[in-house]
Amino acid sequence: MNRLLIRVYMLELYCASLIVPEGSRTEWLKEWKAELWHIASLPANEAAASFVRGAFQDACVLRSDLRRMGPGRSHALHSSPVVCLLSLLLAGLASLGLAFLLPGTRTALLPSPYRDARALVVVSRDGMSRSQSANISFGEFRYWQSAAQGVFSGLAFYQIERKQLHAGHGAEVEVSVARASGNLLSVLLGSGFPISAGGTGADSRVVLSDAVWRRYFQADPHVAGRVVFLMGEKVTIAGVAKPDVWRLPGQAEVWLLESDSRMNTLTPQTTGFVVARIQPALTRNVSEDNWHMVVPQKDGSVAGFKCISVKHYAREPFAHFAFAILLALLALPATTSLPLGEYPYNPRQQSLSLRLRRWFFFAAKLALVLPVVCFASLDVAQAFSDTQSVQLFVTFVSALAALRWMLHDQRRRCPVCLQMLRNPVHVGQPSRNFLAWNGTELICVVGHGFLHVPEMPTSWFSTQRWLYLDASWRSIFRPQEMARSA
Amino acid sequence: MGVEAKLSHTAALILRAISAGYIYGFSVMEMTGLPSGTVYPAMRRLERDGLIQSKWEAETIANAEQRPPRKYYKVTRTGKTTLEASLKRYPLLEKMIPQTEVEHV
Repeated sequence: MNRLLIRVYMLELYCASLIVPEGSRTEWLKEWKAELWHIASLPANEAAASFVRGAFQDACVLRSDLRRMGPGRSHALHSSPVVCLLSLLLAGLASLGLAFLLPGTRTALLPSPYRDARALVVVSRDGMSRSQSANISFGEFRYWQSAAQGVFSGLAFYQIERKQLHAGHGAEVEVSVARASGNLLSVLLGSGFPISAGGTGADSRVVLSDAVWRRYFQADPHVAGRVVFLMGEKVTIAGVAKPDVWRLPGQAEVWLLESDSRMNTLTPQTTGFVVARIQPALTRNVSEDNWHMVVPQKDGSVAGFKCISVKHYAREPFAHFAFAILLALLALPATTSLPLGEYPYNPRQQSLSLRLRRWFFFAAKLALVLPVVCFASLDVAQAFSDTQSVQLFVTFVSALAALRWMLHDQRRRCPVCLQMLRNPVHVGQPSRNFLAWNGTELICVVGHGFLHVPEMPTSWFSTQRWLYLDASWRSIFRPQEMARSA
Repeated sequence: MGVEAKLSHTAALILRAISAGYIYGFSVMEMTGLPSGTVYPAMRRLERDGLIQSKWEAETIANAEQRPPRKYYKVTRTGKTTLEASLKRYPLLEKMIPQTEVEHV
């Protein structure tokens, strides 16, 4: 046969070999090349041409056969306890990462930017502490400023309003403004606010949030001292606050720190939020984060107020999480059985370290599942306006599902190698449930034993039972599975 | 055994050819008249099911004849049992491919 033709056929074989998975390619090509060498020595050229055409068909069949054998490997990977823990860890890290990306959840995870956050309280009328709407009148604030100096070392008032901001380039934008008394920043003692904005002054000053500074002032480093129009009036920019510095009720993009004379123009009925610092002597020996305040009114009655620590606000999502987890734990026995099954003690096949490893795996799953539920519920709740209720509901449902999955997963694993049990087979008949065995059998592919799960719990077979297999059974199991588990 | 019942006529034909002494892929093709795209995949599956086993001939033999070493196939004990069952199912196979002296490598 023509040498050039042989080279063409060899090239065709090489192209066909690219279809074959890499692990089997070399041997496959070697066999086909050797056969072609023999065919090439024959006088008929057609035989070689049709022979080489078949190589493509063979390569495709081999590839699909090897792919079909793949699920065995993927199942081994799927059933591995290490992969299970790694998947949970990845899910936890992903939900934590997402929580850091979402502004609402990020503030809950970061430490408080305010100095002595426990002594910093938000005052609200009794029964309205959960409300995000303003409920303290400016008249009450003025009264406390003069009458409650023994309780509060500092008191500040603020309102949240949507106002027009003229950034100075002809553009006018609507921003959320916290219109506050001039001492707000000195009460907060927040490390993220510009130092120059602290203290009370005769003029009104404005502090921009990091987002507003970047979006409307193009992150101008010399923005401090510039005069802008806010609500149609000239105000001087005192500086830019760091991101995530605001942890009080109400969304604020700009803080307008008004002078006393301008604040006094507010009517006593104007409602807003009051933030105060409790005298250090009062909080020193107290562990609570909430205080109740009773204020006598002009008509002789008394009004009750709640002073809730800012630290308490920061901990609130985690308190909700703990409450929802408690509810899920209480609901769990109503939705699934708690026992993990009967595992007879067999010192030959299950040493103390192996038994401990099984419980360590269970504890590790629990330790990884809870953060996943916590961060994921925080993330989901951010998509709704009523974040607290949504967080409670999502945490409860997902915690219940996660705990059920944990128990189910633990029951379906071999107590020796912790691999998932396979090949479920139904044995028996439901009609003979009280006379004979009726249930599902699962097997450890490594050969450690059988799991018998009753279809219907009876007095003589109430829960799943594990049956250890001794070494004499090993010959029927696949050596590669045994080697993989070793 | 499940494999015995599932052996197709083509697979039985190839198994018979190998058993009859046509131990290389191309010689099986020549004997059965089946194309390479049918014979090689079938042989690979017969090997996977443990009915035949493949081996590479010794390098020394191939080198002495100045050619590349070839892969040859042999019927296993399970394969022989399966073939016997298949011959009962496909009696004409024996007439199509009579037993010859086994090719040596």
